[in-house]
Amino acid sequence: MPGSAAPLLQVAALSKAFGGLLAVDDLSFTIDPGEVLGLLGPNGSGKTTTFGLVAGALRPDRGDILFAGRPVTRWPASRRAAVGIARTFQLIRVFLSLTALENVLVACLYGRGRARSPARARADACALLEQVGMAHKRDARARDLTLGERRRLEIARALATRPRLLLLDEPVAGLTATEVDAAVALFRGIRAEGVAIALVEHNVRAVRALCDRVVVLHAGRKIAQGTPEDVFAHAAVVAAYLGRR
Amino acid sequence: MTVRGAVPLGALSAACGVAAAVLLPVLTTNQALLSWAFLVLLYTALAQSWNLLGGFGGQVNLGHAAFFGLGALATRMLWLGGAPVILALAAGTGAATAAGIVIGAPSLRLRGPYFAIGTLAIAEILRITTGNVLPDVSSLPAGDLARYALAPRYYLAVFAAVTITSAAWWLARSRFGHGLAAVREDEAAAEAIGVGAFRHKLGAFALSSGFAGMTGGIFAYYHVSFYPAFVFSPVWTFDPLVIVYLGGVGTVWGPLAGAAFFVVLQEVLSLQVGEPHLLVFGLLFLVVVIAAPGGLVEALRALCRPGARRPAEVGSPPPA
Amino acid sequence: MTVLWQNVVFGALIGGLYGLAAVGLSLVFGVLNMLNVAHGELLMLGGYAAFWLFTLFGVDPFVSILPSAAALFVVGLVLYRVLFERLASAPGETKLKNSILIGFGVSLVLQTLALIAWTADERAVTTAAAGAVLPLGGAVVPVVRLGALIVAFLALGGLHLFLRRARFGRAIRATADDPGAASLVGIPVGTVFAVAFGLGSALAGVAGALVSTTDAVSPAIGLSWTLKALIVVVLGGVGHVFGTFVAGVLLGVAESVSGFFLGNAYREVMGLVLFLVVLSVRPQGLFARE
Ligand SMILES: Nc1ncnc2c1ncn2[C@@H]1O[C@H](COP(=O)(O)OP(=O)(O)OP(=O)(O)O)[C@@H](O)[C@H]1O
Ligand SMILES: [Mg+2]
Repeated sequence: MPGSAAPLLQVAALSKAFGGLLAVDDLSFTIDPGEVLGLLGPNGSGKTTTFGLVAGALRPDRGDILFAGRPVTRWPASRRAAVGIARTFQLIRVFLSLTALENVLVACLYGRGRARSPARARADACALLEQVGMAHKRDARARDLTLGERRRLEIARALATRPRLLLLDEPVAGLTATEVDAAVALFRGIRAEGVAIALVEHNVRAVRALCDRVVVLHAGRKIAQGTPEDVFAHAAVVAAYLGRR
Repeated sequence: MTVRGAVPLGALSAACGVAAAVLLPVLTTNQALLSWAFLVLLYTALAQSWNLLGGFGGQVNLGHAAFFGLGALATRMLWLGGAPVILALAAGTGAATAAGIVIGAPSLRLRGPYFAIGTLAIAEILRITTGNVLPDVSSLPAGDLARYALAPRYYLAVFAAVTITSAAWWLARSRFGHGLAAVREDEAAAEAIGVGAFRHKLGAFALSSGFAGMTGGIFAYYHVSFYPAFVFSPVWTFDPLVIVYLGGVGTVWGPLAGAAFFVVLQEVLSLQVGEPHLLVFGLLFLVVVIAAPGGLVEALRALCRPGARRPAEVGSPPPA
Repeated sequence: MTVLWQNVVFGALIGGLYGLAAVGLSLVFGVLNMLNVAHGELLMLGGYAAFWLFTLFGVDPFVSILPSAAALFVVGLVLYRVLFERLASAPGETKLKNSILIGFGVSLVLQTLALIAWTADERAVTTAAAGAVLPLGGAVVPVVRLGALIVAFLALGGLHLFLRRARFGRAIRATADDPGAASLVGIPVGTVFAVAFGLGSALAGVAGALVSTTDAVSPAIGLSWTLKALIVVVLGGVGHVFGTFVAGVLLGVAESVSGFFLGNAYREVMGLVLFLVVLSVRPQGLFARE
């Protein structure tokens, strides 16, 4: 699949420093439409920062981001969401005093699918809650939900924007084995609808089950890329994870 | 399945309330009752205008008096200058809206506590400057005084209270209102789903300040004589803030409930104990902020439907 | 020229008090990430403490500094335990916003209580030294105001030494940097928070006692002192005792110089405008690092 069409996302020579610390250093990669790309690396290697740069929450110091052929490097996050870049946060950020339904509803009204009627948006939001297995919690306030439920709610909210690219930052961290399996099935379903996914995940099982390709970061730099099998066999990756580099 | 008829019931009682308010001057000639009702409506309008930004948008504006004062000053000058009061009022509202956009754009970019303090500073600048430039008391000319009638003032207050409450009702349901609620909860997450945080806050700021100006204009039309600096006094920020929290911050009906409570209690207390009614309001305010963040509206709801889950309504949750 | 110079001198003298008032606010803000907008009302209480001690017992306000500070320390401690402590674990923005709201309620209550207890009359302490002046390059320096400036400076020096050298002072600084890490190394963070709030209030008490020697004290002065303190905190940045003091002096001078050029009625406006300009250009303060 990779290479069959123009890439959906093109990241070129991206750099971002916090004070003196280079969090992302001259990073380039692409994601094709419908592809699942894994973003791996030890703690502090710049994965979340990369997501922030792609989603528009952070401004890069250097480099370019092209989405569907358009340069979006200077766009604010809201505008990127409106053309189809959605994300979840490593530290879950749901709208705590809104209900589960309202959390998803507002994303249906904005995002890429915006101009629909409120009634239609409500129906869509209900369907999405159903899809992530949260229909029974529709009217519960987000602050009353468990961690696992909040995570699913956040995914439903991201899907409600009708994304073409979904950035998932450690979406199964802290979940039980059964919950992980359910999440993997959910992501497969999302992918089957043609949504490209970038996945940051330490759970090797989930990465193997989902990713077409992985990119490995270390100290903000790309040190390896390829299929999950190739990369996990790559000595440098193992070394990076063991911190011996 | 929601209860059918629940919405018509709400709409029905709202319509009855408006009808009663409109008919009041016809039904009674009791001027004391009428001025009391006028005050409730004026405070409802002012508190609701603060609530649009502070409650629904979560931005604590401590400079609301600036816009109340601008609307009042512009309306008063034009009206006493000979313009029809409706035109003067429209101009006052417009001036306050424009000022809201001009002042809101830079101040909404301030982080943390600086928005609250910055707006407070702006209101104080306007108050002191107005006091210096216009030191003389503004009084109605004798002719106007002779013709003075409460009824037209009262109807304008009904209009303002209904209009601004409708705006809140719209905010609780519309796309813009949903977006604003998302921004209030978490700006970064709101941006990530396509809600432009700054645009929403600025829109709410413009609405809020424009309506504050409208209320100020009605006050200027109502009041016989006052010092121009008085309409910029911090009480025009602090009273609506207390009323909104007492009634229920971020709710459609909280400002009305709070204003009625505020005016009644003020009357009763000043008859019974004199000045210190502010002490009672201050203590009640603290209790609400600390222990009962839903205010009166939430308390009433809990009474009416014990044990029932609240229906989903944007903006109804207090910022904890 | 002499009049201008006199204005500068007066501005610097009053500015020292601005600095002192601001340091207490800044301490609370820096350590707890809470903004106590009732700080001016605490200062007002300190002023009344000094006024009554003088009126009833003839105690000189410069002596009343100690009882006033002690009383306000207790008031601060109680306010913190009863009202503000519950915010300590809230996330940053919520904490700040709710601390502003609670502080607002407290200021309303304190102001009304003062009004009930002591009426709206303006009070001032007139000691024997009230009229004495020293010459300074063509201007005159009222001895009492100079004394107030010196005491303010000494109080800040003491605070500085306490924060740098004393064990508990270091604990306060560590907590301000990172409460989580501080609690991991065994610092009793809850106590540090309470004491920091008490200290901030005690500084308002000191400032209030000094204010009573030079300016009027009335129930309504709180808001204007809170604003002054806020302006100074923004000018000076958070967490620098002497930066805050210098910013206070600067504000005092800026006010009186602009009062000289634009008319006295505009002196406060200039301070506020300066504040807005600094906020929009450098939200982290004039002297803040980074
Ligand atoms: N806002 C920020 N300010 C300063 N430094 C930051 C900021 N965000 C991230 N960093 C630093 O940048 C580096 C990269 O952080 P990032 O969160 O991108 O790593 P990560 O790969 O997502 O790590 P993890 O697996 O722990 O989530 C880290 O050293 C981090 O401390
Ligand atoms: Mg991360």
